[in-house]
Amino acid sequence: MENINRLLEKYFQATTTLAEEKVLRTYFESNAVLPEHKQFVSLFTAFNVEKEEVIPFEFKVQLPKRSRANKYIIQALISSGIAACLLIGFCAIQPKTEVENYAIVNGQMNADAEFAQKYVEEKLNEVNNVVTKNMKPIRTLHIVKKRLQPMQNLKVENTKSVKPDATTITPNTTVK
Amino acid sequence: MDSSQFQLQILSHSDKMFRLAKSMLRNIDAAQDAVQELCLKLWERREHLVDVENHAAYALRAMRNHCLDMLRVSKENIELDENEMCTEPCPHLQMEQKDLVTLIRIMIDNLPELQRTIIRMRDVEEMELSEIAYITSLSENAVSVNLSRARQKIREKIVMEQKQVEKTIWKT
Repeated sequence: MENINRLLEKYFQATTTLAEEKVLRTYFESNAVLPEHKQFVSLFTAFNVEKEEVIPFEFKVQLPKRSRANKYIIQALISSGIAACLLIGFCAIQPKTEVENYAIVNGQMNADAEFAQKYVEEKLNEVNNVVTKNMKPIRTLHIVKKRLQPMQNLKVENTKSVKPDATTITPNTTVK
Repeated sequence: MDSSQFQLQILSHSDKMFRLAKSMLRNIDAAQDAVQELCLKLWERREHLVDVENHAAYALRAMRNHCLDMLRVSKENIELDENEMCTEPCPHLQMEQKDLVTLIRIMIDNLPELQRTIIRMRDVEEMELSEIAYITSLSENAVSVNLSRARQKIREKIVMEQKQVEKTIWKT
């Protein structure tokens, strides 16, 4: 009895250990509770009642569930996303391969080298024909000019011989 | 942490979490909502729970903080001061005075939030002072002081109640 009184005092001072509190609980659950302790039976009974209180049966914690199909769909989406990112990244990182050899035909860029070469040859031939045709009179003129050159020289020489000699002919000179 | 581990380490303590929430919120429906919300939150943070040593204490601490947030939001935290505490139960509860167990539970419910949380953690959940200190973010000494105050208040009430019962018996 003294032990129970001592434990009760300690209990209300909150200095009991869990083991000592278990002794008290066992005592108050038994049928051997002394009359002076009967008033505290309800206290320990109340704790026991609360201990048995559980979450209501109809209530169940609902966690978000992911079905297997959903899991695969999510995995597929993630994989596609990663692949797309990689592709975009690869394209962005890769240096630009610009077409260096191209021709603009009728305002449109054409990178077909064979076509461009033929087109250029054709156009150059046309130019050549035009130039050849138009240069013919010029060439003839050049020949004429070349052939007239000796005559030009001759005229100059003749003019020089006809010119009066300043030393010989003066105003005071008398004609013999 | 996968679903089965979460079930074993966290959801297995949902009854304790529910009791704590009910004690703090004093409402069964609100307590159920609190458990549901907290379990979802913990499920979302399940990767971090792997490192936790004491899952029960961690879950109860999270539950206490969650309930405190709920009380702050709803402003229903009308705590009764020590002086304002009901010395007499409400009239409809007086009918139940014969049922001392119910009366004691009401007495505990009328304690300040911290004291009723601590007394229930110790006397209902049988937790160590160190665990209660972790859950309530207090020192062990502070927990011990609050526990002592709570028990002594309940003792005074019980003694007072006993005297009143004796008086009525003598009168009749």
